[in-house]
Amino acid sequence: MEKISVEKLKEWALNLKLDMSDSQYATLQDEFDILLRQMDRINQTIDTTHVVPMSFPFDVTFTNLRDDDEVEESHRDEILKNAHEVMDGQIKIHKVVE
Amino acid sequence: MGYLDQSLEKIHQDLKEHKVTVTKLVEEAIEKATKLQKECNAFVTFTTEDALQKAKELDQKEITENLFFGIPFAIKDNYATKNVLSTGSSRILNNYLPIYESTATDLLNHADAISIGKTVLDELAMGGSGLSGATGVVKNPLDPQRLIGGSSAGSCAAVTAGVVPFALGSDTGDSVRKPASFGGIVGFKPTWGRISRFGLYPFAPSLDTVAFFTRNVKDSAYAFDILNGYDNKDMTSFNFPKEKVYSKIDGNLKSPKIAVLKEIYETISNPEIKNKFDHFFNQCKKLGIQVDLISIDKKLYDTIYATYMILSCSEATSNNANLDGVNFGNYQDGNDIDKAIIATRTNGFGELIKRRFIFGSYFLSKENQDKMFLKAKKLRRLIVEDVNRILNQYDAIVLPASGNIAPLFEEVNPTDRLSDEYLLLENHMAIANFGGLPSITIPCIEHEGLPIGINITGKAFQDKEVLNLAYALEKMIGGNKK
Amino acid sequence: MNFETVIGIEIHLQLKTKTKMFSPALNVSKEIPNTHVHPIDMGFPGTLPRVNKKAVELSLIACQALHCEIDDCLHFDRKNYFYADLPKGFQITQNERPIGKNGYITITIEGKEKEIGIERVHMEEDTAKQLHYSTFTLLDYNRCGVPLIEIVSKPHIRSGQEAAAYVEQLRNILLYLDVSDCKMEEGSLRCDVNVSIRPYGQKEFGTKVEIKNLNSISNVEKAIDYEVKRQKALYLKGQPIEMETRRFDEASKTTILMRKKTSAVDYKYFTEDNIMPIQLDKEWVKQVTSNLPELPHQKEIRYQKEYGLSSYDAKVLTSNKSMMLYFEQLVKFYHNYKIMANWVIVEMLGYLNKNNQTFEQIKMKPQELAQMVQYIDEGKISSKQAKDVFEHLMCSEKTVDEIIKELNIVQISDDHLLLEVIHAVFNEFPSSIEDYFAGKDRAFGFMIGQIMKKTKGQANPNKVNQLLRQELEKFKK
Repeated sequence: MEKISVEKLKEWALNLKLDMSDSQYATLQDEFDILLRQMDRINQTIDTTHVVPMSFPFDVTFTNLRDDDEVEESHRDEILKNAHEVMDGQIKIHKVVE
Repeated sequence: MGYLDQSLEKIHQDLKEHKVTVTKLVEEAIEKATKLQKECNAFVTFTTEDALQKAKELDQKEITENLFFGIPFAIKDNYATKNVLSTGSSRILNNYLPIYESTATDLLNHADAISIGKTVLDELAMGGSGLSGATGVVKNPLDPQRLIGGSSAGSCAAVTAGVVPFALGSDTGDSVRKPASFGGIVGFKPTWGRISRFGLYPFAPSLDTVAFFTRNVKDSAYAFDILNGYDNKDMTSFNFPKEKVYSKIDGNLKSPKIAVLKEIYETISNPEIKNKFDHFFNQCKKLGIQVDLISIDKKLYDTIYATYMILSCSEATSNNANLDGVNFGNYQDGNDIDKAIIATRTNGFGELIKRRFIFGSYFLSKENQDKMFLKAKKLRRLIVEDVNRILNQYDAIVLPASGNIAPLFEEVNPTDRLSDEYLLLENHMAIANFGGLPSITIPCIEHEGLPIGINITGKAFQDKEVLNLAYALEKMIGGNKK
Repeated sequence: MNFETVIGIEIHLQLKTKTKMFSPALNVSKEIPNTHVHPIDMGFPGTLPRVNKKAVELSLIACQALHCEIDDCLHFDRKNYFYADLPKGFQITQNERPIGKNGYITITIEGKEKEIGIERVHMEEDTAKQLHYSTFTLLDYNRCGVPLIEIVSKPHIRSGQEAAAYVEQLRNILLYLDVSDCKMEEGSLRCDVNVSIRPYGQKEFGTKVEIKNLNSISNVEKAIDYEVKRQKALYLKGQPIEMETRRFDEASKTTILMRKKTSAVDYKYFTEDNIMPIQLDKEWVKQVTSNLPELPHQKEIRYQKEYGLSSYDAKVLTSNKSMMLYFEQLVKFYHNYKIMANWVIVEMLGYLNKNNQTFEQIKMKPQELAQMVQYIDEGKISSKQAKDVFEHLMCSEKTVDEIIKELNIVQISDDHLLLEVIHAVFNEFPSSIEDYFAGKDRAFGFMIGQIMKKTKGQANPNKVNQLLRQELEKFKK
């Protein structure tokens, strides 16, 4: 099996808005190699063709919904207190170019 | 020495008889915590003043029947606590002050328990070593040359050292049940959906469970009583009536049957340790428990680790996409908004979890989702179905929580790299997360003077039965030791 | 070469709930910034989404009105992407199992009906509002988490005119059902259009171009018309039509390139792991979807059948919810539907437009307008007098009778009295009688004028008309 290229890994990293040192990419490359080989082995030994994917621990449904009459909001000062920069009651960031 | 390594019942009795005050208890906790901090680095934040203040107030109040009254406790730092730094042990949240309280801590506060601080975890709970918290490595109080395990490292260390009789952790793969083994204490992960996750920082919500450490099984039962119940703030919380199990835990078992999974159990490589566990199971038989060594499809169980990695990293990559420094967190500037977010996330996350995020992103990508993420979800079903099949015939699956004592730091691969040589014996406890099952680790044997726990996993929603079996085994083991 | 235009439309609609889709903060985006925000809306760690029942109810109503198959078990997914207006780094939506699918609505173009298929209706949440300044951007989270449904049409639309009719029809329906404010200019109804062309007979679709930010129905039509022209020209020149996103420029009435779609963005959709599947109570779903009021389109047909209105009148009356409600009150009090419809469409609408008012501001009670029309029919007042009465009724809360009294309007309908006046006119202007029989039409009008003058305009014109002819006929003999 071909190793995933570092360029490709960098692309995924940037897609997640983060970057790493070169040595970390090399480590990750090795880890990918290990995991993909494991998956390869699994694919050969375990047939999952007709298995329904399991998203939650239990195959049950819930019924509860939130009532629209329940109102709760936080004070603006609280909402904004963790923001890096605030201006006129709004969070200020670099200009977003659309 | 002191009160805080005793049972809740004993502490409560002495409080009632005015042999000790809440203030004294809190002072003891703070003193021990300060010492532990120097030796083992278990805490991120201390809330000393608030704790003493609350203790003073409680000392003016009448003592109720509530065993948590005035009990100092510690909180894993991935629970949001209002106006108290809640970092998730990540640099990216090292300045974050939540404006809301997690349901779990809220319930504990209302039960008049007193938080003395927030404890270190593997960064954002993504790890199992206690090595990756932003404020440094957590050491094992029983032997500071060794790790305590993770991700709930600081909370485990705090209970192990007798700083507090109870500490909140969280369990996604075995993050409470594994360290409990290394600390020689009890770690309980209840049924998924029985305790609200509101305010617990999500790692992989379909696996995440509010879980905790105590020094004995009955204390865990009491904590479960305080914490379980429906919460409308969590749409994965079961709308069942609140359970009260504490008073029903008596250790009486009705023709108990436990399953030991042969292909996992027999991989214990150290013969001495194996002997000690064999002895434990023989004791069980003497107690009248039917112990069956049953064979499993090893090929299926060998997929546990890959399945866990794929599911947890995929969910984590999305759940942590909110950490960009814009609304909250440790913002790092850049020339434009995109570069600022990249700088924030690049500097804010440790190397290990960045690699795990990239993993997750790969598993979820359109081109790989079928063969990775969906495949893992299918494997999850196969494993859960098999485990439930076994649990339909047995009261519990019982296996060592670890094949050995806590490793020395020098033995561990420092970057927590994914390795080709992993042992099913070290990863099997994730089955309880796959199936949402109640699972508890209690101290079982000692080797070279250090503990190894036994893990008991039962049927979903049979938290009481699991606790009761654990209590019976705890009594048996305790009798053994003495 | 002849081309076929293929259009698909995606509509995002803000639902008219009290609170947000997944949080209990108020759903009022146009307020002081960041005053209606819950920690859930900010994506603060550990907060969990809570599905709003009312939003589900409104979505069900929309699905029913659009003839969709309803999925009564709710499943939510995540659409993962980084953007400054998306605090969680993902949007909660319904990818795998939308609440509604395979619906349709019927549009009418020049009298011909056409069904436009609806692919899916799904629930999701709105993003924060960005305010761009020259060197920075400000974020307001009031809009963040506002409930939305996205309605995706099938590619059944063939022209700008059909597209406009589709959007208008959808808007009428959903506005009428109180699902949404449907204000395009304020963004509570947002419309993205996908346009492609292909030579007639070709099976494959052409390359799609997306047009965004259309803030009025007429712009939908204009933008498509321009875009089709542009694509045809490119095609005929042998130049490729590229996958891109364009926006409509009002000033030049053209579409302008926003960005090329280089590679499709991978949103890494997967199950929202913080919301268990929610099985809706089947009785509740039935109750919500079975009591839908008659829709405007259905009313339009009924008005023609039941009230004998022209298709134009029926359409105008149903195009505005408050006007329609007014008309429906009106028909309870009197039966001359056509005339009443006329008063509403011509006089009332004209008055409101002239005075910059809306139907909600009208003071006149429907029963008064009905009464007035009845008086005209009974000859108690003339149409001309009625216009005076109407003007007064529109700006007061008085009754027709009070106004008539106030204005001292009396209509002489008494035969005896009127005959007296007619004979007086005959005596005064005998030559008019001769002129009348000589075939001069103006003579009749002249005599009417004289009669009205003598009665100070209070004679019942119909009556006068009839009596004058009757009396003139007597001369013939």
